[in-house]
Formats: sequence, structure tokens, C-alpha cells
Amino acid sequence: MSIQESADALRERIVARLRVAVTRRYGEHARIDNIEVATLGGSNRTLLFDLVDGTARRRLVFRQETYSLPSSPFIAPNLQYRLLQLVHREGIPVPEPVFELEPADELERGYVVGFVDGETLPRRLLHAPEFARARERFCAQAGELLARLHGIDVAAAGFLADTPDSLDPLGAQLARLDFYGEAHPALELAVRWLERHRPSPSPRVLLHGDFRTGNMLMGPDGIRAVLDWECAHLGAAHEDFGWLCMRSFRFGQVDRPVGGFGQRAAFYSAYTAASGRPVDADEVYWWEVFGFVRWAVLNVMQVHGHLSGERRSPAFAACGRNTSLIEYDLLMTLHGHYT
Amino acid sequence: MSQDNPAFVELLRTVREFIDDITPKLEGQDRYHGLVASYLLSITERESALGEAIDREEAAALAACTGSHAPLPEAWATLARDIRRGQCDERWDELMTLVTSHVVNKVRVSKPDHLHPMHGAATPQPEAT
Repeated sequence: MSIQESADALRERIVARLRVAVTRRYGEHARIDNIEVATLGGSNRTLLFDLVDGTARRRLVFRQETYSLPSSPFIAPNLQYRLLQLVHREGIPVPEPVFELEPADELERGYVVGFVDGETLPRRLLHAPEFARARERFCAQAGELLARLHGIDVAAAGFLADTPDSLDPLGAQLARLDFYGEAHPALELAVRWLERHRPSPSPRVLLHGDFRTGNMLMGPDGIRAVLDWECAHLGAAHEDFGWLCMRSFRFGQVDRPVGGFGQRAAFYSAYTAASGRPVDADEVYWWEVFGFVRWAVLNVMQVHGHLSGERRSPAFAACGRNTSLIEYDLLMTLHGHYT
Repeated sequence: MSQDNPAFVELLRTVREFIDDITPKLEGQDRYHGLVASYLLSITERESALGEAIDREEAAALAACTGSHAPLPEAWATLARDIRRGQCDERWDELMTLVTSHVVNKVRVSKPDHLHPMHGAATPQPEAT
């Protein structure tokens, strides 16, 4: 009961300040309407609302950071916003950046983007009849989309060059795991394997960093917008491929390695056709093993945030115990039982 | 410690059954959290049923492999440190086997359905005990 009341109070506080933030930018006659809470307890608080100005009405999305410890694996909201502006300009399908929160808004850190209608729920996307065509097109579309993203001049994303994940992706995971203070022999084995089998260095490109089923907003024709850019960094193109193909993100469709949608060959050939750059299956495998480590550490982070009291929820508690499921898939992959 | 009925595990199961009853009546995020809460309680039930046997088995396996008789969390932490320092590279296969059975044990408690049949057959369900 008390949790419910505090969630209501939180909603009221955010909505009141959002009203002020909107009138500061659009004038006294601008108002907000049709407010819908998507989530208050996730990695980001997310509210949908209509910005109403005279007869004009536009659906917008408010996102506010909830996890801001120094060990956070997420880039700061101001960098996310800058990145959204960059990729939006470059023609990557993303929600249009509308305005960034400022200290005067008293809403902590975050931003407002345009609403894009569509579905993100993996089980609906992977099974519902209306997404049959989207499923068919997914591998080709994802390959083309990543080719376009990785083709952006990295100098334009230089503001991401010094983040831990850009400088040393494996080291960044280990530093976080040590910060959370948990011992995970399975992850250490994987890290050791990764250190002893490093691929040769490849050119740095702009990576989405969390390009997977669940973070793509889709319609019946396919991908409409790529969401959740808070893990973006610079690195090897294959890192994005490994993450997309990890077993954890196939949502039960384990025979369809590309996000639960399709086969690797279709995705790799679409990427190569659009970018002119080959995809190396062994290197994707290395990044999948890396991805399991990273996904496990992210789950350890969620339970750390839960236990530290920063933001509590049953879902974050479950993340802690679900770390073992990721470790299991990781070891089964290293044993060669899972592909 | 002797207490009146219901026993510890029965209390957990009672709460889980209540949550399972009301969750379908909830909506949106509350409904999702209801499902997750039930899952969390099912973990505690499995941990109650399996935890001690798993700990005994792991202590024996660790002692056989590393010679350490330290308490379990400390022994796993020491092993994790040794692996990171590269001190276990020579015994790779042996450690893969040891650590895999450790992870299988964790999954038997967290979500036994997740196990491949090669690890799933012998999983006792708490309901059956």
C-alpha cells in the first residue's frame, strides 16, 4: 500500500514539474494532457503525454534517469540527447529529440522525444500474426540499419570516445562487477577465455550498444524506431552483432539466432551488402561470449540498485537470481552445446 | 527451532498462492510485478528444499578440486580471484566442469525449466517433497 502511495506521489510531482517545463519552453498557453505512465521503476522513468498548443496536439515521451551511481553503465542523459540528435540527423529511425531537461526544470536529468507508435514486446513481435511481414524483413532491415549506423563518421560522436565502454569494453565490465562486490566464477572463466582469444583490432565505429529485440519499436512493416541508446559507445562493429544474436535475446526462439527473428546468414549478408564490410563468424562468437558477461553484470547491477535502496522492485530482485540463467547459457555456449 | 504449523516453506507457499490468485485481477505494471513476486517466492521454496543438499555437494566438490575447506561463499570468491589471475589456466577443463555444476545448481533453484535436458532430468520440484 505504501509503495503504491509513494508511486502516486512521485507521478504527481513529476507531472507538476513537467507542466512547468513545458510552459517555460512553449509559453503559458501550452499545456499537457493525456498523461500515461509507461514505467516509474525501470532504468528510466518514462511518461507519455500530449503537448497541446492551441489546436496543435503532439504525443511526446518524457524520460528521466533513475540510476546515477558512478558505476552506472549508462551514458549521461545529456550525451544520450546529443547522440539522438546526431543519429536522427543521419537518418537512423529514432524518436525525434524535442527538448532536454535543464536544472531549472527541477526534474533531474532526462529529455523529451517524439512518440512513435508501435510494439516493443518481444513475445508479441515474435509470435503475433500481424508482425509476420516484419519478422520476415527483420534480418535484412537490421543489417541495413546497423550498416548505416556504423557508417556514421566516428569523429561526429567523439563525445563518446572516453567512456569506459569505448576505452576498454571488457575492462569496463570487470570494474563494474568489482564495484558490486559479487564473486562469479562462471563470469571469471568467460573473461579469462575472452582475454586469451581476443580478435585482432578493428576500426572503431559508433555502436548502439544495446541493439536487440525489445529495444526496437516495430510495426507490421518492420522496425520503426531504435530505442534505448544509453549504452552507445565506440568500438568494434561486431560487438553490436554479438549482442543482437545472444541467446538471452532470442526470447525462446533459440533456433533463430538473430534476435529470435531469423538466421545469421541473412543478417550478415544484408550488413555486408549495405556496408561493404565482411562479418566474421568467429568474431561474432567472441562478442556473444562477451555479451553474456556484460548482460550478467547488468543484471548484477539491477539487484545492486535494488538492495542499495536506490530503486526497489520485484523485477530488479529477480534480475539478481536470473544472473544464473545467463551464466548457464554462457557456459553451454563455451562448452559448444549452444550456438 | 520448533514452531507451530504452518512450517516455513508452507508459509511461503501460502503467500505465493495468494499472489497467484490476485495477479490475474491486476493490470499493467502491477500485474507484471505480481507474476515476478510469485516467481521470487517459488525461488525461496526451491531454495528451502534444495539449498542444504546443494551446499554439501558443492563444498565436497570444491574441496576435491581446490583443497579448500573454507566456507562456501569465501571458497567460490577465492576461486573467482584465482581464475582472474590466470592461476587456473592449466586446469581449464576441470574448472569448467566444477563451475558448470555450480551454475546448474543455481539454476535448479532460480528456474529449473531453463536447464537443458542434459542437466534437467534429476531436478526435484519442491511441490513433490
